[in-house]
Amino acid sequence: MAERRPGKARARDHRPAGRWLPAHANPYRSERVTTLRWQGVALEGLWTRFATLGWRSAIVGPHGSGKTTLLEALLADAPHRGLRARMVRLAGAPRHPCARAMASALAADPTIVVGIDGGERLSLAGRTLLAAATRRARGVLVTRHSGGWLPTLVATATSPQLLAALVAELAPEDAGRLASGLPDLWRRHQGNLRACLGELYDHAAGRDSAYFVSGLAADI
Amino acid sequence: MSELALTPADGRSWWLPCSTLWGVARWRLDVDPDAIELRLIWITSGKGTRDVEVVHRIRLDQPGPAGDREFTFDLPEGPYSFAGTLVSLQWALEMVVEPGEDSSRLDLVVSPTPVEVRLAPVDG
Repeated sequence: MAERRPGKARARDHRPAGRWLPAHANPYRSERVTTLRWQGVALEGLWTRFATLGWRSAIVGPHGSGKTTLLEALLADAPHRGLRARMVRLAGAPRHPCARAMASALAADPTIVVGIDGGERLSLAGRTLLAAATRRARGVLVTRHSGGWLPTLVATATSPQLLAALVAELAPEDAGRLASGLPDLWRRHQGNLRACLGELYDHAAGRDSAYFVSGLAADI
Repeated sequence: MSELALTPADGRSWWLPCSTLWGVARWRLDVDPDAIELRLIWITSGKGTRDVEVVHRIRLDQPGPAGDREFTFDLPEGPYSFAGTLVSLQWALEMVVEPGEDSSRLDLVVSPTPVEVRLAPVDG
């Protein structure tokens, strides 16, 4: 773990001294981050591939790589294709989601596309229940950290360039100042954009984010 | 072009907990809505999951495309409006037109003091 060097970091930090930013003004606050748009492959091609895969497939990727963002983008696009969409979020749910709750959430509608966010939480029994509950649904899209259960629709990945684009969208006034530190930030969080943006939140809030500030200092 | 306006009494934006907030809602719409809902809400903002609480609501069915209506809301003891670096809590009045996406929001401070409680870091 890197040693913190508060003196040096502060000397090279461009934040105005004594600045205090309340949470509701922080450009990286969660309600802004969760409304970031999907910036990867075009949805049109994904719908075509989804149909080719038999309308049952998975969005696969590591933490913070945009799986949920893509799933939400596809479900939001579904009505434009004459489909209805339902989202089931398993994050934070019990390990074995109740069959009855799941069945009631997934109406037996042949025009419905069901998005399951957090599919890695499903046990083998849970997957069987899911298959039964969604038997008549048009499509089932599951986000997972690894493949192997359903065919992979797309594997999500990030890059320092994508992080820079998101920072430019969330805080255009910061983008230039932070640019040199972003590749290191991305590497330290192993490409997890949610974690990167979390650290940027702390940095903007003036909550000492020693690593990021040190990363900036190294580039100056 | 639609116009929605929420005007609290005397234009006040600061209200004491447990007091009665009152004012006037006014609307001029291009369409005849099914309903207009006035809401007193608080909402959190920050690094974590957002919480929203609708504390009171007044529903106006078939309000017509234009009109005004006085409203009152009894404010609860809390939570107070506050702002910290990790999370802030803000009170607001909302006017939402149904169906559609027209809405208006007016931020308020609900606190014993005229400004939100500030959870600022303490040096040393």
